[in-house]
Amino acid sequence: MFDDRSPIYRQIAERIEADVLNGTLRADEQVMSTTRYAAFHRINPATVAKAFQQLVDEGVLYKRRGIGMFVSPDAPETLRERRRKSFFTDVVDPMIARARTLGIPAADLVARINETFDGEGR
Amino acid sequence: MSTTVTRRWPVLRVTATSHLPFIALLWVPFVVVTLAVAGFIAMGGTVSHSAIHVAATQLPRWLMFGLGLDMVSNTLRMHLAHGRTRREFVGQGLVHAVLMSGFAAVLIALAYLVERGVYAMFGWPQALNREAMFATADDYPVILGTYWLLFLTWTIAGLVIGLGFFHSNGLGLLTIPIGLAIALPTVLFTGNSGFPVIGDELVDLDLSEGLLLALNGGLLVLAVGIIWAIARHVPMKAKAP
Amino acid sequence: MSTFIEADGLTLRYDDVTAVDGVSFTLTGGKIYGLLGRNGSGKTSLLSVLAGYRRPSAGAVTVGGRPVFENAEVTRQICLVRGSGDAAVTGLKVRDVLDFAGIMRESWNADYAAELVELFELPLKKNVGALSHGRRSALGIVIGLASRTPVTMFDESYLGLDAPSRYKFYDALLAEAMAHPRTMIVSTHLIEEVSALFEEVLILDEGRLVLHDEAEVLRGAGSAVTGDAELVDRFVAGMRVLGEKRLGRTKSAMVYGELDDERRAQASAAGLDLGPLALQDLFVHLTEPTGDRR
Repeated sequence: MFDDRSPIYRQIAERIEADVLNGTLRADEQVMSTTRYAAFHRINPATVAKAFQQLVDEGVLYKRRGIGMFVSPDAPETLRERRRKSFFTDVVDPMIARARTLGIPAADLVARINETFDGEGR
Repeated sequence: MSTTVTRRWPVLRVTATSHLPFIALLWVPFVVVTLAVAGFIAMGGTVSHSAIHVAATQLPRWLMFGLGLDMVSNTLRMHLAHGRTRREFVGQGLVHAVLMSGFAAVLIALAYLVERGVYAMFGWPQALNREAMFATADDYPVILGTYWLLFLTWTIAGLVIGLGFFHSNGLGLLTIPIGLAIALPTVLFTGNSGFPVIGDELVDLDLSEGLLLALNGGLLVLAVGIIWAIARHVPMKAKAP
Repeated sequence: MSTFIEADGLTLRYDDVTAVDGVSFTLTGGKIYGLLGRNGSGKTSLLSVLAGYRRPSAGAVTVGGRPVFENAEVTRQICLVRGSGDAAVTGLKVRDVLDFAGIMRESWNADYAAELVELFELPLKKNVGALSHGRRSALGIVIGLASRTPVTMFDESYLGLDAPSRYKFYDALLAEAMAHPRTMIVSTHLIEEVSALFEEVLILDEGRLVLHDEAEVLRGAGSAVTGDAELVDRFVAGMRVLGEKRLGRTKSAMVYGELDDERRAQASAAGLDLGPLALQDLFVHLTEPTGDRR
């Protein structure tokens, strides 16, 4: 479930983002209300509201007054775009640093990447 | 949603609903057992005086003292827990003491009346074995007044000692002699009926009725002062779990 | 009425102990607050003063700007349930305890109380003194929730309750806080179980308030810095260090305060490992008796 090691609102936001990315939550689908989400997961409603507000600010969710919150049609693309940007700093850079300490030459890395991509039919 | 009703005198309502039925419930066996003892005596000899008078001048005041203690030890805690103040408790608690002791006094006067009926059937004399403010067992207004003041004083003495112990054991021990002193003159209302230690010496003083009442009144005022002095800042300690 | 609670230098002394020692805070109200502290840290004493059960020895506490002690207008807005509750008098039946609550509390909701009685399976005809510890705690919880007071406080009211009943309590508390928003203060040391319910957290240690912040801020605020002892010392210099562990040349320091990206990069460059600290660990380190304090 959620843990106490990082702000819960971030964990909630990440979970909803993951649901959007893997298709569990579809475009224009309504998400659970703040109160239901809070009661279901036993979380303070203000914490849930903060997570939802962040997702609205980022364009992942949109509000319909008096009805609730829905998944933005372009939410998957927005999220993918954001993750693409951080992909190199979060994943590739540390990998290169690691490779360097282990003495793996850049050419080997590139070869491996090409091999794997080709193997999957690219 | 149910309606929430603002009720007046909440403290009084709680104490009255718990204490008055309790007293009424005890009254029945009190009368029955006392008269049964008279009947038992009649089997072996003669009934020469009022059995109710013997019993009523002894036991009931201790009950009233106990109810005074109970008002503090149980109901004060409940009142504070429900957001009521010490001031409300003392104010309504004193009104309750007056009403409750009056109620008990009415029941005692009624017991004398019941006994009169029973004694009349068997032809027993309803004489008083011990001197009292009232000269005969059918002087109901004076019987009522005497017991009312007697019970009120003992309830108040219970409140003083109860508050002492609610505050702390130290103050509790200190209030025991104070409570006894407050109740002292009342033993002469119905002749000395076994007050600890100095009862007989008091009877020998042969105080006039007026002086006795004035003394009792003064002590009651003093007791109310002590009650307020202790209650106004009394802390409510946490119960042991 | 506003439930803005303000404590200013609040102190409560018993004969020879200072149970609450100059505590000051402001609670804006309408939230669920967690009051954390070890046994004997002064939680019950602090709450007792907030509820007007005791008069402060020094300092002041006000609700809505008005002092609490012997102020009927304020105290009827407040309900504190200590343990199984002071209103649950041992000699009475459960039903009488609830009836009396209805007489004494203007805000009492009898229908809601009946729902809760069913939820916790309380026997109405049984004497309070004959109830198990858990059932008595449940009765206290019913009194606290059904009082519907703008300020409702539970002081370790879960003691004796089994886990399923505790979760019933948390669920009821949360549902109630959302349906009828009010100020709730819950004291506990079962932090992992309830901390997600709190919006703000106050940590008390030896009568002093050592921390008061939003729960979400605290969740990101503690870190364990591990690595070469010398490098760790250099990195944590100037930070609030809550505790340290050492094994040979390796050292782990628990620090309080958020680390921004720059600091994280510094740590990573120095080969230091940064781990998040759970609220529970933060609490343990904040209230642990340390060498210089003992």
